[in-house]
Amino acid sequence: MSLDLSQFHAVFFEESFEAVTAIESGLLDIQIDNVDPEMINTIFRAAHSIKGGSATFGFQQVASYTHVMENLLDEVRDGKRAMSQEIVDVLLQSVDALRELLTLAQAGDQMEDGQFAEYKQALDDLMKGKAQGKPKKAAAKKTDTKKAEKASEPVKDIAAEAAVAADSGAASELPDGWRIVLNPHKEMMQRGNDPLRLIRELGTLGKTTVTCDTSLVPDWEHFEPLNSSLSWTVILEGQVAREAVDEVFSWVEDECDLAFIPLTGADLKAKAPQPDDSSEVVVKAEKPAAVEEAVAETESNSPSAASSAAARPKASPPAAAESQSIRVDLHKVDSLINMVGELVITQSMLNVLSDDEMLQGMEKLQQGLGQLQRQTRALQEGVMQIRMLPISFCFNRFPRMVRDLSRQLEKEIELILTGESTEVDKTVIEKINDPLVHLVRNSVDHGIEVMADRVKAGKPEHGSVWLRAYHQVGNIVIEVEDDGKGLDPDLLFAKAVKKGLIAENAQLNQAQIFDLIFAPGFSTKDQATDLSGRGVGMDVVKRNVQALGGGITVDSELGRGTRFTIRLPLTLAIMDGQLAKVGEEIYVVPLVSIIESLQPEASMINVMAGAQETIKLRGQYLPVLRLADAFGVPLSEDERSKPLTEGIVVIVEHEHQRFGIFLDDLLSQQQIVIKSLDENYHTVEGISAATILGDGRVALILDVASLCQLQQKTEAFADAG
Amino acid sequence: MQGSVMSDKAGSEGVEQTLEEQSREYLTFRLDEEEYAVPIEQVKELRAWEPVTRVPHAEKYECGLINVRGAIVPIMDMRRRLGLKSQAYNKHTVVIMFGIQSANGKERASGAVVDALSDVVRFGDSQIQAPPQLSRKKSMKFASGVVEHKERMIVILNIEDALNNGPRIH
Repeated sequence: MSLDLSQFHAVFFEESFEAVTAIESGLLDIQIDNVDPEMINTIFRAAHSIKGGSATFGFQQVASYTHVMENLLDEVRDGKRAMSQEIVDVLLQSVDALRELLTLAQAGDQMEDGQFAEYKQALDDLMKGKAQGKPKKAAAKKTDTKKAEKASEPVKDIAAEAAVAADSGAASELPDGWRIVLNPHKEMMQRGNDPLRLIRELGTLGKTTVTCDTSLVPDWEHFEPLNSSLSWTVILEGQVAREAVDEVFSWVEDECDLAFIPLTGADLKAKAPQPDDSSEVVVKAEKPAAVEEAVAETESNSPSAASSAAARPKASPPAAAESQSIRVDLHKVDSLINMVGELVITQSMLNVLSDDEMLQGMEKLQQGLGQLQRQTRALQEGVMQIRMLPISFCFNRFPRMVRDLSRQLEKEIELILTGESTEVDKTVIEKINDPLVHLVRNSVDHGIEVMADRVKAGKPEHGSVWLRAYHQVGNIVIEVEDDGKGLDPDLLFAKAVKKGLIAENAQLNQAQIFDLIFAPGFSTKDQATDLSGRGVGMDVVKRNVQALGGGITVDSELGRGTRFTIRLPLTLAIMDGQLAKVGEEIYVVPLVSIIESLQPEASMINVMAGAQETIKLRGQYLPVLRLADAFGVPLSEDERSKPLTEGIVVIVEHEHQRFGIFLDDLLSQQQIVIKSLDENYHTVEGISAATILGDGRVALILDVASLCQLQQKTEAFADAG
Repeated sequence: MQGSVMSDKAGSEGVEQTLEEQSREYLTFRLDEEEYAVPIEQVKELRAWEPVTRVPHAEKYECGLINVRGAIVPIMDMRRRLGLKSQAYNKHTVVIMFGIQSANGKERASGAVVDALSDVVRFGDSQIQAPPQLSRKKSMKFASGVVEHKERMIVILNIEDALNNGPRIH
């Protein structure tokens, strides 16, 4: 087939990685003593679809590896091999190996032969070791067995015949010929597959005699020229291997019902009609009984051997899940989101215009604009929703991780997931993964005590780790909690002093002490394990979370457990902003960072240590940053030095630290579309991103975290001076 | 092909051209009585001057940011960039929008304010001479070559270098 297959690679890899994940989660759910056959089937189907795809695309290593996996699973499914912990373990390892193989194949690479052999050996050993006297089976026969098993259900004669014959066929090497029943689904031709091409291709394998069944062709008035209503019976003479026949139909196996019946020499003489030209299609009016039944079976939708015979069942788990989603290139979604962002800007521009006095009287226009505003917002929300994925995409990997880690550490740990269906932006999911991995590892490694200690402390032997997600006022909150030994404030304090992070006489409250674990270079465990620790972690976790515009807090009770709470914006593309004016410039303050805004009274204002201004708010002295100074906004000298009472102070919080930002005036609050500055420019201190206002102009969004640092710098400067 | 776009003979006078010779089209523009040129394929769009949003801590030659169909694009003042004396913008002031390769291989949008546009001219590679060494002229800072056209010298700008001020480390 001279088709450029590479264009399908992306889809293949995406599907394969999903299938690997499905295998993994299936394996984790298996209960050894009570194996759910449907579960094994699901795993089998997933492995099978990877095998099918990889063989089609010529990824030999993946194909041959999954082939062995599949054989193993098949034996389990057929009850020839009892499920054991060992099998689950080996299969889980093979899941990792498979990921590795797929990743390599994706990069256009292959695994080194030696390593590949090693991986495969592990599976082969297991196959041989406990094969219970069962010889290894060839792939072709495996499918046949499956068929035979299904044929034991009461199915119609063609199926039974096929199955029985298949078994005998496999036993006695190659058959003398095949009877092939091809019944295309209605839509087959619409997908660009021509049954005649298949029949012609069969002709290259040996002498063919073709019978066509036209009985299902509808009346002229109901005739749909695009649908296929014909079915064929092909007698193929010659000793042809089953694989060769399979090959012909490998592209269409999902689009037609197939049955392959091996024939002996005697069969051929008896059954085959003998037209002169073997490749000519003979149209017969009466329908062969067998085909009719095959059709009947498909209609009744029973899982018959005829419809599934030899067809490699493409991983078609619950059909519902499949039909509800489509794969779309992320770029397409993003450009759609961009366009809607533009629309929102245009819409707010129209809104500004509608305030114009000239238009006040035009009620219909005003109504229309109001409607446009609502619809635009609905459209924007809908479009943003496309990028939202359930957090289970990220959570799903943790059961496996916790299982492996707890075994390694000889702890018994149960991971309890809640709120997996909570939806959040795809980018957030991608970026929150690493911090979460670190936190969960931390809980398993450092948080949960070893069993003996737990018993001593009067706790249940098995520890618990909770991973929760939920929505809270425009944010997603993710919690990682354990019922382990908790954080010891005294220990943390002593350690921080020893590391020189704080002064010996520092006055810190409990929350501030717990926060020390996020300080760079702080590790609570003296012996760093290879799992976590090493003191590089928590600070990185915190930085990553902050990079997403979120925050992390820790809460702990000694002896009872620890809880990390991550708060993240639902999306990185839009946010609620407070527009603020400084001189002639307009800036956006993220609404989430604002604690309150006020116009200070003269009595509140203090000037400490030279230049640093503070305001006293409810007994607390808060430093104030003049944005005009920090950003060098062009102002007259009078404007520059005007007292704080003539403007607005916005109180913001960053890392438990509150400070005020002094501005001239607050304008409207509105939802803004976040535009990166990096794309065409570069990052700017004190600025996180930009947006486009209703009048089409660019406004910069304040970055409270870096302004806080800027404020501290000026404070230090003021102190020194 | 070569020289055919030129409106008069003076430009190609005395220049030997073979059929194989490579030639490119250049957009020429004026900055303070001097003539400059940039390869036209780097030019994406021409815009009139519009108010920009100032960026804190920016270099003197950076005007600010504008919105180009939803993208945030920086604009710089070409006179200041080349160290020429600045001048108030008027109705001839033009913003040339460029697409340039940035360090990470992606195309980056950036704009430059110039006094006025002149022409689109095709130059053969052999017409372009190396920029004079040891030139004291500031305008030669980003010159990749010079070419004589209509008895005037045109400076061909390396616009990538001129526009890539790169991210500053804080």
